[in-house]
Amino acid sequence: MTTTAELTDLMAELNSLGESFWAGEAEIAREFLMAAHDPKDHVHWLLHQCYRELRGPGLLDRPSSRTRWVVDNIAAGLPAAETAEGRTQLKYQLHQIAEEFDHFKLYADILGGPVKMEDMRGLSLPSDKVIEALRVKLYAENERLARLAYDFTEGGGAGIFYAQGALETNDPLLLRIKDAGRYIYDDEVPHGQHGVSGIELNLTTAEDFQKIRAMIVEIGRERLRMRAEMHDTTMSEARIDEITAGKIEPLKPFAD
Amino acid sequence: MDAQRKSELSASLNEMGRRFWAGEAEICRQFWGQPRSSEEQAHWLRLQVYKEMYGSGLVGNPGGLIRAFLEELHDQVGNAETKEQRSDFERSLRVLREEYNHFKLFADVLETATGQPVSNESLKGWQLDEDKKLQAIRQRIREQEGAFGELAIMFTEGGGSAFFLVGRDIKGDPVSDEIAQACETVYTDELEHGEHGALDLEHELDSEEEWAKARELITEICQQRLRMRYGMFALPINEARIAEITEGKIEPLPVA
Repeated sequence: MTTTAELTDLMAELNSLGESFWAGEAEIAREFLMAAHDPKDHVHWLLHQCYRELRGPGLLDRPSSRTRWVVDNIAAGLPAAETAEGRTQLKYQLHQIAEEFDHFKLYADILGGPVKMEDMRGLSLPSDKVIEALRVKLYAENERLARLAYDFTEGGGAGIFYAQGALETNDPLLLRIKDAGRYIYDDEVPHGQHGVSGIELNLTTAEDFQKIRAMIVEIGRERLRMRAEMHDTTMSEARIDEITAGKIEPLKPFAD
Repeated sequence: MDAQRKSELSASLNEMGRRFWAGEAEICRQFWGQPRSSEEQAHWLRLQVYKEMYGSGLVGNPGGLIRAFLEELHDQVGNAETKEQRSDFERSLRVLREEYNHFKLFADVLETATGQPVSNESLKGWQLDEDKKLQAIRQRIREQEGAFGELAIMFTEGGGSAFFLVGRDIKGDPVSDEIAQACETVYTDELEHGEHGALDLEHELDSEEEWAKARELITEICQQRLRMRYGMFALPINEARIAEITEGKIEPLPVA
């Protein structure tokens, strides 16, 4: 039997692991944003982030998404409206959908001009496919733990938004990116806390902690590759190993 | 028609509206002026829940505002490609979430009052006769007067929030406290919508005849709104008082 003190230590270890990966994602975004670029160089990552903000909640078709849940609920005659729990769930899903759309809109407005949905549908990166395959594999291994692991890693601790929000710049385009990043970071931070509480509330054995740790490492490493590809770069396997080993400064909370 | 005359007619119409809203507040105070049992509260709560789900004051969709928005949610996002379209979709989502939350608030209170779940099947039968007549009047105006009729309907929508204004002050038992909280939320939301109905009329109406017609349509709707309020609270309809209110024998509801 794992004691409460041991569980607290294991949770701290997971949080520390998460913080390293979030800082790794921020490092990729920061290095890209601080290098000299033409405005057109930002189109690639902006479009991919738009794609993610829409696909995440299922506003671009995705099975098992929030939007799919709402659509299916309507098709079934809106059973969610019949109980207090269902009504709260529907309110929560609508809130999340609106928040993700809001984030999409922030980046799409920076891109300027129409952002065609048809074009967005084909934006999946090779690394996205790897992440999707990993999701299928981990869910097949242990659905309960995989769900907790994905909740924990969702949004990558808002690392790229942190990097955007922390920019020190007078460039008009980067200032818009900074404002969008800071806004989204403030929205996303509570989601990360939700993922942490999910693990705290549901894991009671050291064995489960070790399994979920392994899942978080796999997901975190693939997310770093995906963030790098999104920013038209690569991250060396050596650097990914270092980040996994905690050889990176964790992100400092914003002062205000 | 010159701007000054338009402004005079608009001010006069606004004052007429505020007298009808004061009439609605008067009926609410007549009901809530004494302690009410949970069953007496449940009578009007059932209609309120029905109206929040099915009430089609703003849209002609027989499924009501919430369903109309929910059903279109997924399709609408496919058109959110330009800055304006994205802003439209964002606005639609905001209205949907607000309206849905109003439904949720009153459905939750109804459950507290009755101890029974709010079944979708029962909900369909909760519309009262005077509300059906109000709906029929709106529908007839919509069909006969087109966009002009929509403007008149928009002007009367919500009855100046008089119902919520009075409801937010009731207290004395857990159900009343929950009603007051729900009314406070809805009142605050509705305040933000303001008196845009009159502004829309000012933009669209261009002759004395059009203003007189609008006044006539609005009077018809507002009179039926008063009957609906009487019916909602199971109070006898006082036609003499409705006539007095129509003649202006009541202090207008102050501008919030």
